[in-house]
Amino acid sequence: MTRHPLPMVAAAGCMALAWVAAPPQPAVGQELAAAFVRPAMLPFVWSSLEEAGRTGDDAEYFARARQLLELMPAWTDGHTVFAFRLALAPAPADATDPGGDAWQRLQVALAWLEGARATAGTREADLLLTMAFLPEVAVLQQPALGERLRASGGPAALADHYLAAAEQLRGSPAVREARTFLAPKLAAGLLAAGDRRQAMAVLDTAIERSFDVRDRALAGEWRQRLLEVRRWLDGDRAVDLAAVQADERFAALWAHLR
Amino acid sequence: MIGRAWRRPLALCCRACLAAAWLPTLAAAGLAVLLQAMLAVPLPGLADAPGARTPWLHLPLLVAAAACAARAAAFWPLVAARRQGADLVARLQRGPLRGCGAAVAGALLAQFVLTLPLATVFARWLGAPARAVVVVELPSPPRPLLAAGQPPLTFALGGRRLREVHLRPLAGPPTGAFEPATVEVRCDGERIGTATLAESRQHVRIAAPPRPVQTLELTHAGGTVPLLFGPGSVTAVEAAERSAAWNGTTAAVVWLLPSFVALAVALLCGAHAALPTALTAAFGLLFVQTVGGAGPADAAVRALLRGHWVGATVPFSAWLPSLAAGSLAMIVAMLLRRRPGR
Repeated sequence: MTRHPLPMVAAAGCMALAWVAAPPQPAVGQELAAAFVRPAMLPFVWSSLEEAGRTGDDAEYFARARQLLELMPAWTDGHTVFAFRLALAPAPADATDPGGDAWQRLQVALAWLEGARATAGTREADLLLTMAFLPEVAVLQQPALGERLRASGGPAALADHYLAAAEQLRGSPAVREARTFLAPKLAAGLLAAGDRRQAMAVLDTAIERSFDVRDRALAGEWRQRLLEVRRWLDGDRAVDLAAVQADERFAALWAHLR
Repeated sequence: MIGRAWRRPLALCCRACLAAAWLPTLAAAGLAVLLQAMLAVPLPGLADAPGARTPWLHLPLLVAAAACAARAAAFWPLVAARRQGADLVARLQRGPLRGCGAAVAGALLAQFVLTLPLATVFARWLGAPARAVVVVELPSPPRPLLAAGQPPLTFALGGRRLREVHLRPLAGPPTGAFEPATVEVRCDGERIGTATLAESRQHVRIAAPPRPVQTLELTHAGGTVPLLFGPGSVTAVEAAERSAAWNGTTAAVVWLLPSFVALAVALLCGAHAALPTALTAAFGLLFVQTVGGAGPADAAVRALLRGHWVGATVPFSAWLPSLAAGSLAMIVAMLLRRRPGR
């Protein structure tokens, strides 16, 4: 019996055609491999993480957390929890520069979350919103970090950067309003950094955006306070700042309104 | 005489295991290197953590152990039931286990030869420190709560020379307005440092003077957060350093325990079951005792990579359950094999 070469040639041709039409994606292969490895490894990775938390040091704990998240890269809540823990970990007792130490940890945590954006999918905007919170929370935890961030506009400048990215991805009113209500802190940070022009621009933008705030009464009141601050910073000393001084939401600006 | 010993079951099995297992072990080590390079991408700014690299050491160690166990079970015809040549070997071989014990010992010897370079050289490549330190968990006092109005907690150290004291207590809910707890640490009455603790498992290191210390005392010095110093909350790092090579050797010996248990249970199963059943039992037990962490092997690898003295982290008392389980399985296997008709 002789073998006809035609079926073999046809099969090879089909393979080549399939290769050209849909080139193999390494990411698909990785995901397929991970799907097999994940259920077998997850229980042991979890227990290793717990063990590192119980008997290991911080570096080992976060390395284990990274291993866990390598298996579940799309778990944005997991990325958020571990990155926040990293950024908010107390400074070592013998730290000579707590502000610098906190700054270093904040940068690493933000880089961690930035890396997680690629696999966050539809939750990328949520991830960006949590990233926006992180600098402010870190400054509350370690006040020396605020000094370190002052030159670049304070934690509010970082927060605004991530809120802007979130707004671009998901232009929901909630995200827009979060940015609008961040304006006093951002302007205060810019004023502390000596960037008066940018601070005025931030206030102008916030005044403009206040028309989009859904609660009309709140929008009007907010716009009025912003206008008073804007006028005062513009040199109008006749403006009455009593309402601004009584409003806790403008506390960050009080030092610049004297 | 050497020639006769060379032809005994122990040596025969050891040589067969070495011949069969060296290549898979080498391949597994290569795969571990590759996976470590591909998957363990460090985040810039995070400190190096060799203790988190245990999976890459587990892989070749497990392959070596599994390959030796598989080859030993397949090599000696009396390990499992219904093997070809079993009757002939049973007539020639004396002893209650008919050479199965020697085959197990040969497999363990081969595994030790293969895992020794992994636990010494390969572990160093994975980042295990060049010197090991003894880390001792201090037993917690009968009333381990430290809070305002509570007496100081005292831990006996028995004259150890310390390098560091590590605190990692559990934190309770604050008893008033939140204020982190301040704990004063004293060695024989001399204050060596203060720790500020607010969260559960918060890790604080305090440098200790390198002199013999009899007692360590923790005193509440302020704050509203009560702290519970349960088992594992206080560890002392001794000042003396030990050889990393000996540490690796100890870890390689500890890694023989899971194989001993697995092979002993395979012998027990093999008294009536065929080779596939005995091998399945052995592989399952190996996996559970190593990667699964049920046994001292996982702790030994972790200690090795962290640079902790394996002999202190996994003391001989921790070996006893494995030794007892393996010995019991061997005894039962021996009794089952003594029945007439075998």
